[in-house]
Amino acid sequence: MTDDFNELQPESALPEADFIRLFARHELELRNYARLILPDWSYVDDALQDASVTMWENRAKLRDESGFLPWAKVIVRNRCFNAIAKLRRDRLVLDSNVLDLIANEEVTDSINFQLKTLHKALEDCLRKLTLEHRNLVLAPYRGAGAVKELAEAARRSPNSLYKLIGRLREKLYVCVENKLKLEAL
Amino acid sequence: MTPEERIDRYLLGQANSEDIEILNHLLQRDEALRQSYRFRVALEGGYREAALRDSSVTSNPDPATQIPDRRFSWLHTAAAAAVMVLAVIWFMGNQIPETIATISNISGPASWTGDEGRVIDDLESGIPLSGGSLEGTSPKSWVEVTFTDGSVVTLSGDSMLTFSDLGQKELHLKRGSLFADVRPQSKPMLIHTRTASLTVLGTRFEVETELAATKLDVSEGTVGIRRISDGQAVEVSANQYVVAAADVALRPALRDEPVHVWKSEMSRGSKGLQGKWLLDEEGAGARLWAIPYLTHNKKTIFTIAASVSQSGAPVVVKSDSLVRVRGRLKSDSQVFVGLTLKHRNGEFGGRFQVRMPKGEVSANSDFDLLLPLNKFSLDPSLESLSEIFPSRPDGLVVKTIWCHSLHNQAGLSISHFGIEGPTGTSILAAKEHK
Repeated sequence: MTDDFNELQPESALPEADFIRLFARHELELRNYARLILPDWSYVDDALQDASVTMWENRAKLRDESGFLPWAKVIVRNRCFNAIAKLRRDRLVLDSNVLDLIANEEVTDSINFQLKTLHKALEDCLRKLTLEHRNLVLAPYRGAGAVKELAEAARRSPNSLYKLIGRLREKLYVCVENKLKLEAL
Repeated sequence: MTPEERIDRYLLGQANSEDIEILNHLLQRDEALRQSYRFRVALEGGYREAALRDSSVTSNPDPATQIPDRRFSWLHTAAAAAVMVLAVIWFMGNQIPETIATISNISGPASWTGDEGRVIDDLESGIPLSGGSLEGTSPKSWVEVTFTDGSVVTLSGDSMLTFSDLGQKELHLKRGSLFADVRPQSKPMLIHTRTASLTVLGTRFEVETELAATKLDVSEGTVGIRRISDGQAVEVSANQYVVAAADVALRPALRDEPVHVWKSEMSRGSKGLQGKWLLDEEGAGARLWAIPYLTHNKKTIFTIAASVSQSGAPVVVKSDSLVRVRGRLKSDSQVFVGLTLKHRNGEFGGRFQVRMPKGEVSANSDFDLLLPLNKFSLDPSLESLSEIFPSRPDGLVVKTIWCHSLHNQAGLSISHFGIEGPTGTSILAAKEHK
């Protein structure tokens, strides 16, 4: 897939300070968008860093704020699909057609809640867990080997801990969903 | 496994090629599942943010375990602002049922009904439990539950327990038996059976219940018991037991001295037996036929079991004890005989088993085997917990004796189980001698 973001660029430039502010405002959404396509946060970091450099280099082409997000998403999307094409040789990833479908739906049918609201609801739900379970659920995000270390400390297999993490995540999913429903009332 | 579970496995980097294949197929066709995928990815960011926050407040001195934060430094300001916003906003509502206990050990099939009636039958150690019902679904089931205050309750065999903790622990033993090691309670733990109610402040004891009676056996401390039929109540102290039944005086007694021999009395009825109980066609007694159970890993075994030390004196096996099994097999199959054991205080002591010798058990013929206790070894499904069980069964109380054939219906039936002294000639010993 080529970097065809030029086709979407707005008509004239935004000041640098405005660009930085816009990127900061939308960074969470762009990061989420990249994670839809890429199988791991470390690849998301790489892709977003590359994409942000491209955006910065082309910031002069931006004219107004409303065009920033779709423009930025196209750049991020292209970086992600480039990355996943290389990844496919070394690890199991979803089919490109499926990821394409998901990425398109994210643009045309954006989930009807704010990510910050969702993350807040998740934090509330995480607080209801025991400290031990909270640490376990968050362990996969604490660097490679964190779950394995917990498994060794508990004299259990990492696989059994991942199963438990899966159950806890399912509970949290239901909890967050319910909170958002309450919020919508 | 549900598609949603596969999505989570994928997001956690745990998916295998089968998961990917199935997900590709389902996600391509199912828009609702794609929405679920997007929702789960959105949560991913929240998990990562929470992990970042936790790491920053715990100030881990080991740089190797820090999450590499490769975002631009000016974005930290935005993240900090987001955290402040999150800290200020507080949504009301608590959708996760509070965890009141955790499964600390498990072996054999069991299921949990909680969380608005959802049934989970692939339980494993570490699973958090809120209020609900725990069921041991076979004679070989064993589940140990640890409450948040450290109190431990163990279900063994075919048992069912419902529990809650709304400021006071309340347990309903619907069937089977439990062993409890209860930490001191500010409000007494209540245990209800069909025939009795128990009040517990902090102690160790065992409860067995059946349709018309409840037996309470106390190892430490004191437990109050009230008979439901007439409201009469007594206190039972350490090393005492009592039976609460409508037709027996409610009077604590010292524990019986152990015995070392026992035999089943199948012709007297099906009480204490698990299997299909039928009178022999010849009128020469009764026979128990194996019935199917699903094991923890979803394999079918055909099992027969008999309670041993249920109402009488505890039957303690010695190193030279022999286990007698008489029965019949319709078709060739591997057959195992085993004992579920407990310590004198009621605590679970493990399961030990032996495989019936080939050649002694054949299709369409009766068998009568004497199996020496020293040939019994720890059930392989308990191997990972071998350090918490005695290495040998001798000296332990026999709770249940059981027999099962594997996977296929082999027409296994048993007419007699027994624990005998070293007077007979063991079939395994005789074979080894030959």
